[in-house]
Amino acid sequence: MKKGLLLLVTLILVGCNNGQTSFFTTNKDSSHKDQRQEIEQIVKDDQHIKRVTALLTDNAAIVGIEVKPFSKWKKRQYEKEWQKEIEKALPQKDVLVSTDLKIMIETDKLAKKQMGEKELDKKIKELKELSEEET
Amino acid sequence: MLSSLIMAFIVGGLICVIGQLLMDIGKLTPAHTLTILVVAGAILDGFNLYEPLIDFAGAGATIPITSFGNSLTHGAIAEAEKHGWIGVLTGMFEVTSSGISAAILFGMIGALIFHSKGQHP
Amino acid sequence: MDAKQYDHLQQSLSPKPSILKNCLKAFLVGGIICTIGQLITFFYITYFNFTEKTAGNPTVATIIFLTMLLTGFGVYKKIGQFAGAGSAVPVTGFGNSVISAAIEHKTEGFVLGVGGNIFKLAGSVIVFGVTAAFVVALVKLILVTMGVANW
Repeated sequence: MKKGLLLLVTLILVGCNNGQTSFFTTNKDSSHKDQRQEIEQIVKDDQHIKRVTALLTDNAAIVGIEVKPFSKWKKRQYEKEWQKEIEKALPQKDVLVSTDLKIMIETDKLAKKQMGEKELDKKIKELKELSEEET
Repeated sequence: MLSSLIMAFIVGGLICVIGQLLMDIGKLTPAHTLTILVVAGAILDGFNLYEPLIDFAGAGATIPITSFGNSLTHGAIAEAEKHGWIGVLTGMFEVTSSGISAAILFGMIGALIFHSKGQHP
Repeated sequence: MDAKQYDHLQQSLSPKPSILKNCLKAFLVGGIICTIGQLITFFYITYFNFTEKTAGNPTVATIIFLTMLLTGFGVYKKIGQFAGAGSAVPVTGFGNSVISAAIEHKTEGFVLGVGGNIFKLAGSVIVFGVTAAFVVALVKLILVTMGVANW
C-alpha cells in the first residue's frame, strides 16, 4: 500500500514536468523579433511570474502567463495590469493576455508546432473565445 | 502542479475544520452548519474575496459548499451589473446549476439502481 | 445516590468527544476530497476544452457521481461517521443527503417518496443560499448606485 502510494506520487510529479524549463518561450520562426523582445522586457523582472509563452502574428498576439503559487491570490488584478501594458507595447494588434492554465497549455502546444500566420491567427481567435466562456 | 494540490488540500481541509468547530463548539446540526457556510460564501463574494480564494486554492475553494453561495452571488452580481435590478433575480442560477442538477439527477438514478440498506430482504 | 452524584458519575464515565481529534479527522478527509477534486479539475482542463473558470462544473458533477456510488454501496455512511464535517462540508455532503434520501424513500413511490423527501437537508442550503445571494447582490447594487462602491 505504501509502495503503491509512493509510486503514484512519483508518477504524478514526473508527469507534470513536461520539459518546459525556459522562462520565456515564443514563436519558432524569426518574425516580430523586436516586439517579442519588448514583451520579454515587460515580464522579465516581474517577481510574480513563473513562466511566459508568447506567440505573435501580424494582427494578433497571445501571451500565456504562469503565475507563481503565492501570487495567485491577486492573479486577476495582475492579469489586467499585464493586459494593459502589453496592449500599449503592441498597439496594432489584438492582444490576449491570460493567466489561465488551459490557455497556457494550448499556447505551449501551438508554440511547439510550425504554422502559418493565418492558421495561428485563427487559433488565437479560438483561444480568445474560450477564455471568455462563463460556464 | 504539486503546489496546487497542496493548496487545495490545506484550504479545503481548513474550511471543513471551520464546519467541524461549528458543529462541536457551536453545537449546531449539519444542516445549520452547511447553511451558515453557504451564506458565508455569499457574503465573501460580496466583498470580492471568494474569487481570489478560488484562484489561490483551486478545488480547495470550489468543492466545499461555500462555493455554492459564492456562485449564486457571483451570477446575481454579474447580471445586476449588466441589467440593473432585475439582474439580481435572473443571474442567480446562470453559472450554478451543475451542482444541483447533478445531485437531483444522480439522486434519481441512484433511486432507480440502488436499494435501501435498512430493508428486510 | 442523589441526582448530583449521578450526573457527576455519568459525566466521568461517558466518552468525551475530543474536539481536536474531530478537527484533525475533518481536516484530513476534507483535504483529501478537495485534492481529488483538484486532480479531476486538472484532468478536465488537460483532456477537454475547459478553462480554469469553467472546469468547476464538470468537477462538481463528477464528485457527485462518485458520491452516488459511495452512497449506493453503503460506504459513505462509514466515511461520514469517521470524518464528520470532513465529508459533510464538501459538495459530497450535499450530494449524499439528496441521493440517500432518494434511495431511502423509493419505497414510498417516486412522486411522493423520492420527490417529496429529496430536499430534506439540501432544501435549507438552497433556500438560504439564494436568499443570501439576493440580499448581498441587492446591497451591492444599492451601494454602487449611491456611488459608495465599485463593481
